[in-house]
Amino acid sequence: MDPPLVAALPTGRLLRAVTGLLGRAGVPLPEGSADRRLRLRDNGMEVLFAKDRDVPIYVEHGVADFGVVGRDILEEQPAHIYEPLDLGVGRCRMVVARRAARPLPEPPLRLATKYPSVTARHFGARGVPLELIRLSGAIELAPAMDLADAVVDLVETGATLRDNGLVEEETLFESTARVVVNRASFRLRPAELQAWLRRLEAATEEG
Amino acid sequence: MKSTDSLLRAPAGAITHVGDAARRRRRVEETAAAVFRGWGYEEVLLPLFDHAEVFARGGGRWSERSSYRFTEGGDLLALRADFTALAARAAVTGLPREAERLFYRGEVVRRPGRGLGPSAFREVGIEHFAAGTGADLEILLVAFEVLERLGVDGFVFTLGHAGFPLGLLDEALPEGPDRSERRAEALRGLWRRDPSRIRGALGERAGPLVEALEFFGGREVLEEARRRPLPDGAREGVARLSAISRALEDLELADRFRFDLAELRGFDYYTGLIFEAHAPGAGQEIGGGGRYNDLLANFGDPRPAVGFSLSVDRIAGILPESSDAREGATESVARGPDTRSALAARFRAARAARAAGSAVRFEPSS
Repeated sequence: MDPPLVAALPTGRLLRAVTGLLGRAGVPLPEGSADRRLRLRDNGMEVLFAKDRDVPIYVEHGVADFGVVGRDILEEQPAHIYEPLDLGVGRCRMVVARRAARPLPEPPLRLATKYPSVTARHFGARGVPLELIRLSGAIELAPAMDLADAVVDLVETGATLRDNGLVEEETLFESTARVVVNRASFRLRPAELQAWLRRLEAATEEG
Repeated sequence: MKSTDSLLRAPAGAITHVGDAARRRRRVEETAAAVFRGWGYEEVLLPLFDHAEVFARGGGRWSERSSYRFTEGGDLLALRADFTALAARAAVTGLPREAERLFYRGEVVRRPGRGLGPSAFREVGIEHFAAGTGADLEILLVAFEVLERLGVDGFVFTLGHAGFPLGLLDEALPEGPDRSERRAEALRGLWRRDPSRIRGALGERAGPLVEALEFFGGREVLEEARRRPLPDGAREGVARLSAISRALEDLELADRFRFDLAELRGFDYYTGLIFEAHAPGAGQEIGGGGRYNDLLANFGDPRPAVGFSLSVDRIAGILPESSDAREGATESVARGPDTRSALAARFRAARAARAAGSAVRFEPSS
């Protein structure tokens, strides 16, 4: 008897964005916001809740057979995993934003971001010299306080940028929630995984 | 107290194995070596470092950034990051041309990527410098025999052929200045099985390549693929896999093999057969390989080549419990007073027992 399939789900913003869809597909979910369990088991599946940046790590090592994570994370820290399904929800944009009152200066640019690999790759491809400042959050503060000329960050509506006097200079890519799959599980338990992928795909169409 | 500090703290990724963990790894290596010899493969002992360029020429399988590089006398050298490149260089520069079946075992080292994973990996593998379906089938059967003899439970082989996805890709690529960029993006889509990325790279011509992601399963996928209109390279790939599939049926091994016509293993250097082996509990592939006919050509010798490597560490991690405990145990203890005559008698008795195949440990008298 095989153990139940294990799914790794992200906590936070992205979980809220995919909850409806996952519920329709039959994925076990927490019972209300007071439910702090990190592992759930139901419906022939075990679900674990991890920080979004850690989801690809659980999946790559085969601790989870599949998971849900935003494209922003997959671009920042590529993993040797499959990404067969775009759930189309949790839509955001990865943007370069600068102070509204001041155009970007001549390079070298000082960029603040939570996404140093994405940022270095984007500007590196154009030969723009950079000084990268890696921050953990509230990135909009950096240009306002003159720590950086611009930021690279994920935005949903852009309201936070505007409220802090920033404007979007450029969009790098659109990010949505993706289903990622462990390569070994894809080989060893194809029927079960394909069945879940079909249920998830059907749930995206109902939404 | 700096020096004491570095004696106590191992750098991230530097790992020591002892006891059961060490014995399991050696058992994998020794079993594999016995199987390889049984098929007529000759062991090659490869250097621990070489010019960094050698590893780049070996297919660029491991990004240059992941190797430990250093300079010596003005040369840029690298610690062994990959066996295939070294075996190819040896075959071209140092070995008689008759040496066409080689095997290796040992460690490769790579800088830990994200996080603090191990930086040394034990591998065993073979290279066979020959063309043809017979040579393709041979490496599959050699790998199969190693896993079977080790008693690995439930392992599955998945076979593909580079000609299939690459043939479809080349046909779908529009001419233009951004052709190589589109090709790279479509490859990333294939590696990740991400249809949206393939569509992004190829637009309305993406259809056949996106459909290739569905050609995954038993030999029926070969039949399905054959019914499609295919470019020559893709058709040739399906024909080769069909020939292998028929041979595996004749050998009554077909139930352990599946087909996946989109698989490229994250590389762009295979030119024919591609395979990967998986087993429950391993989480990641336990081995893989295929045909890379450009390999020796990169070192100036246009001979064909096919080969694979197995991950000793991952296989050791899923071996069934067997005689491991006994293997490491001492069978008897020679105990007695440390007087001159008693020592000599104990030593003689122990030597005779060892000659007869037992293990004897000396203990001081208590």
